[in-house]
Amino acid sequence: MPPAAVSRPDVPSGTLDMLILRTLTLGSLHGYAIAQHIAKLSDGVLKVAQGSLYPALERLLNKGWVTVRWAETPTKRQARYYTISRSGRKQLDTRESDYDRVTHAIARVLGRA
Amino acid sequence: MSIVHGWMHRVYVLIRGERYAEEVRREMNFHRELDALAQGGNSLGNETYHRESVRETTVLAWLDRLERNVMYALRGLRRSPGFSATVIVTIALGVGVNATMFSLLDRLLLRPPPGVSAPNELRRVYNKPGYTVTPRGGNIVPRFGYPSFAAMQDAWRNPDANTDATAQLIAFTSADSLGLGEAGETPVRVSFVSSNFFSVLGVRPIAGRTFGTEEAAIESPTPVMVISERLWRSTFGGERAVLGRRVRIGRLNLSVVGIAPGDFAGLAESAADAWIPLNNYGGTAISGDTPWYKSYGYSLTLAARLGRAANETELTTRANTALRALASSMRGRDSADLILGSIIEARGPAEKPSEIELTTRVAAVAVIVLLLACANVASLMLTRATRRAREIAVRRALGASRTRLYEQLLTESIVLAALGGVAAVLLATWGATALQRLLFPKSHWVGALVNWRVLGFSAAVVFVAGIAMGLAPALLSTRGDVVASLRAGATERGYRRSKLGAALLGLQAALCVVLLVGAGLLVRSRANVEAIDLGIEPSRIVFSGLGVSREKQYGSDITPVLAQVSEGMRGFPGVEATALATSAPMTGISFTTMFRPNGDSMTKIAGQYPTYTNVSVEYFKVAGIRLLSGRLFTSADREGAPLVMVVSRKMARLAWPAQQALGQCVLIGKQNSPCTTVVGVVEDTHGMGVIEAPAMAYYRPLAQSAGFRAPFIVLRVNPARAAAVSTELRTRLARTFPDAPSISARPVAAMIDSQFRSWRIGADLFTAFGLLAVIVAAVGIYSTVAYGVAMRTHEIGVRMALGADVRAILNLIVSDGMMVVGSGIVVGVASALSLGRFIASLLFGVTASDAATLIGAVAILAAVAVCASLVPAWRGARVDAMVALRTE
Repeated sequence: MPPAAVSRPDVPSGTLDMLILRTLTLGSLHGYAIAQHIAKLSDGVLKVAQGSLYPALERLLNKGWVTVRWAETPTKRQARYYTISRSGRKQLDTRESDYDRVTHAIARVLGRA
Repeated sequence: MSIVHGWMHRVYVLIRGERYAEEVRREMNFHRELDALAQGGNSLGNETYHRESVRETTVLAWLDRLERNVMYALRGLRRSPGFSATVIVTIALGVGVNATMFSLLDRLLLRPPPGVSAPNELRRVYNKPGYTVTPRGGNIVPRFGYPSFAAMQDAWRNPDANTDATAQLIAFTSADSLGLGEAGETPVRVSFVSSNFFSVLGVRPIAGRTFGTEEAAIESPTPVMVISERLWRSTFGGERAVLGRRVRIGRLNLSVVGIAPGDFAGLAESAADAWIPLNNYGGTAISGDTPWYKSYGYSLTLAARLGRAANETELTTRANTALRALASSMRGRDSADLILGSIIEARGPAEKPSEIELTTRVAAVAVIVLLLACANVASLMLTRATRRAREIAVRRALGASRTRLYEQLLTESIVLAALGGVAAVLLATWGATALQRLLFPKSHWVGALVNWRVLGFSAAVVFVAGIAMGLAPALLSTRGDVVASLRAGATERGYRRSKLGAALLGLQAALCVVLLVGAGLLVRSRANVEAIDLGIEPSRIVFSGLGVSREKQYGSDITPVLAQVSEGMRGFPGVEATALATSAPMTGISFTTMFRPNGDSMTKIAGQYPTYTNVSVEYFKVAGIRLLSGRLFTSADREGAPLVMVVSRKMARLAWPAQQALGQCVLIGKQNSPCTTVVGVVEDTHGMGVIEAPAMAYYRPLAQSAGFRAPFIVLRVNPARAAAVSTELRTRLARTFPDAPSISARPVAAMIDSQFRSWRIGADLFTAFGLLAVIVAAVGIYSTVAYGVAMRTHEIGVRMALGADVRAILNLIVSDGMMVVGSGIVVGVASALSLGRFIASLLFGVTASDAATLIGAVAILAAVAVCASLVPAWRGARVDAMVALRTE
């Protein structure tokens, strides 16, 4: 069994890439920091498990939207730092505007807008 | 950019391989440690599972799957070695012959000359005089005389005021062998080149210099040469001291001034190893009164480098104007037209050598062989896939996805094709060299024939063939009801004739018929060519040629000296008769002017020029030319006696269509010459080529033709002694004429042998491919019928239990296969008929719709098909009915 978030709701499918890309616009970060950032900003609602974070990062690498290199953390440890590429930013823009349109549409259907 | 980043990442992962997996492990460990710190030792999740899910998204996963599929395919192939071996050998042959042909075609038709800068700006220059220049009737040659070269060079160098189209023109001779060293012990291929040859081609020497303005003057020979890097290393030991050294080559004494890079081989059909300025060229030619560079001829090949603003039409017009002006200034010369063609000779407008025509046709045949091989392998794979229906059903029932199964089946066929491809490349490395020696024995090519281009070609063919032959079986076997296949395996679903299987078998039969018809036509053409009556007996004639530069030394006429040598040969074992003549059989023809007694010119009769040969009395006996009417020459036909001549049958018919030729009077040379009377008519003979319409010819006694030189000794010999007689004759001539620049003596048969070569090789190659096709088709038919029998064991049992005898069963099985083969044959005959014009240029005396050949091809294939299906049918029919019924 995948040990995905048991009590908390999972990250909605298809939005994880967008969350990672948005997080990386802050600068180069390692995997743990990305997960922490998403959890903190969502007040712990969105919990990104290792089992979905790293496959997602590998996918983004294959698409060329992020690049990766080994670097030293402030605590003198070696970690893989991910950086968003120019095409990654472009992708993020399209994803976000698509997302806005869809959520707006859903909200209207639900009668909340 | 995202694509680049993405692929860079993929390549990085591929290169790092397992070390990348380790990177991911370290990264996730780090994550877990931080997690544990934050949550107080509570580590979440299954580490292995996480690592695997990352791996699934990397290219490593793809590699893993590929490895699994390949291992699975190899295991499967090892389990059925007979099948694997048949498929691999079939593919090796199919791809191998194509790789072989491709390597030759690549060299002949695709690759520009190596070592030359910007070859796309280069053009070969062709000459179109207004008359036939080749034995086969072609009227375009890639050769010019020096005056034309000089005129065109000037025309292109000085553009008019209103144009800036320019081109630089170079000239060179074909690479001929000359002896290097004091005794001429090392044969070296030498090309004489114009002084701008290297600079226009953009070839820089690796040491020393190339030719320049110092070598430009055509009148004054400059004793220098440039050698190739190959020659430098092989003969001069690669020492720099070779520069400036004087070397004897042929009759020239030259000093080496430069070394050309190893990849440069010149522009001639054979690679050259030494280049000599054109102003030395006369030194090895037989000199006459005018220097060679002032007379016409076809000794030089020209190539042009077009300038930046060059317009080919305009350049052609300008050169043609210059050539016309030149022709009118040189009395009696016909003007010529110029054509700019591809620098690759085989793509030019001139008549292709028959070897090149043959190569392209054989390459097309090789493609048919490949198609045949693919059809054969596909039908074998199909049979195997049907047999494995149960296995595939089990795998599907266990949850293998369709994509997975496709992947696996295609991997299997590509692995098979790749194994065949490796064997094919080995075959091609050997085959290409063998075929080059066979087809182009006199050409010397630089560099390996099988190179990365051939490897790339083979890899592409293997990949496409692998997919083509695996796709259909894969699609078929994953279709259909899993449960039914699971329950029954292949047999109990009942025997349904597979449409695809039948189509593949029919295709094999059709392709096989096409190849057999081609083989039959070429074999018949060869027989027809060899049966041509030349009017002489080539195997019984030995002749000598003598190049004489200083004949004055022997008096004004060397004929008496030659007559002595000729007489002397009479006692030599194997010599039956001796003669002298102004030209030997098949060595060329000469024309003169003639008039009728009323003064009318007879120079051109029925659009042709008669050829003449002045001969000694014995000539007709020596050459084996048959007398038709009248008489031959006797010793009484000497100077002072009435002038006589003998004419060929064709001349008799064309010159005096309404009358007897015997007794007619002809005035030879001038209108006021004395009358020469026709005393005999002889059979027509071929003047130059095996394949030609014999020209009109007449013969006159040597004794009555003062002023003619008769440099040819012609001997009638016992064919078994021809070689010994030739050697003896050469030795005696060399003793008599120690200063002669060239002496040759050989049988006519040896000289015209090369004219038969392409016919023989064509017939051999086509026959080899035809045999190959029959074997491949026989294997295909056998396996298809054997499979059908295996599928129908149960049915056969029932039929036998109900009283069918062995013959009825045999009939049932064989007729089933023959129906398919029969329709394939019909398609094959139709295709052979429509493909006929494609090989028309390779045929002689037989048309592509030759009934006997078609019937023969069909009969051979039908017989092979019946035999190939009888064997498995016989095995099936001998099965005991009870055993057959119990098979399930």
